Amino acid sequence: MESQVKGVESGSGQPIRRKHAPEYKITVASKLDNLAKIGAFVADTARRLKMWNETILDVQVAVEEACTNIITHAYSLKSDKPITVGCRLRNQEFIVRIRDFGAAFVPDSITAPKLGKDITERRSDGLGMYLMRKLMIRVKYKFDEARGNELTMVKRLPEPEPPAPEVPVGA
Amino acid sequence: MAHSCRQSELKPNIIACELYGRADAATAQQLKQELHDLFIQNKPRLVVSVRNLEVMSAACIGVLVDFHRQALAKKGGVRMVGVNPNVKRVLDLVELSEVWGSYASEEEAIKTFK
Repeated sequence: MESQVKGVESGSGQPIRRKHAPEYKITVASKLDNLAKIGAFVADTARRLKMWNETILDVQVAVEEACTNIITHAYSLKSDKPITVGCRLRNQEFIVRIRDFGAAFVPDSITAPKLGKDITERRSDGLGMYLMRKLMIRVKYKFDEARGNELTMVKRLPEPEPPAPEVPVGA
Repeated sequence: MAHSCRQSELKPNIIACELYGRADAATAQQLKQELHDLFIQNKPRLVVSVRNLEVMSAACIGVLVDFHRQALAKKGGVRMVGVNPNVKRVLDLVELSEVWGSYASEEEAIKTFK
């Protein structure tokens, strides 16, 4: 499957009243080699929407971890299944929706990894989901056998700094 | 390819590994195999340069944690060189920054192995 990138926003240059903010999408095949393509798409879209670099990295890492889980667990490494990633900016929130048609799971059944300085006690299972939850303010799964599974992750953008007070000329 | 492992030019029993570009789930399996091969050659000390690494994934961290855990029994472990802000962000979140350290050079990292 070739990847398809679609920016839903049209190019009139005029403000368009819409119910929802425009969403940019990519659909790729479920190959681990496509993680780089997904990460680049998310980073490019975030840059286009004027997000800050640190925020971009957080979203990119979270999305790649989510897609890694889809490929390895939901699709059991089958490489010809679709993954669609959509990004949009709304009310100072960067919203990512990831759709797949793989096996459902119970998110709460994923135990948190055991961290800490004693590495002999550490457990790496669930590290990807742990990162997703640490990097994004909301991570929500919706499973639907017919319509596909949908993961929504949200990153709140830092509030813009208020404009500096005007200083009278010559003060 | 996102990594290259070689014998350290400074000390023969230490492995110097450079991770660059992306260390994601696509490359983690190959890294795991290479580190396993080195470990069974009785080389449990690993210095990892991440200066040019853009993305460090949970899969890559898992591989390095497994190596470190096994290596501790042989007085080995993992040390990090050139930790950039992208890598630090992730290592801080998974509480590994202090475990693996952040050294300016391979030489400095090697000195910490006793």
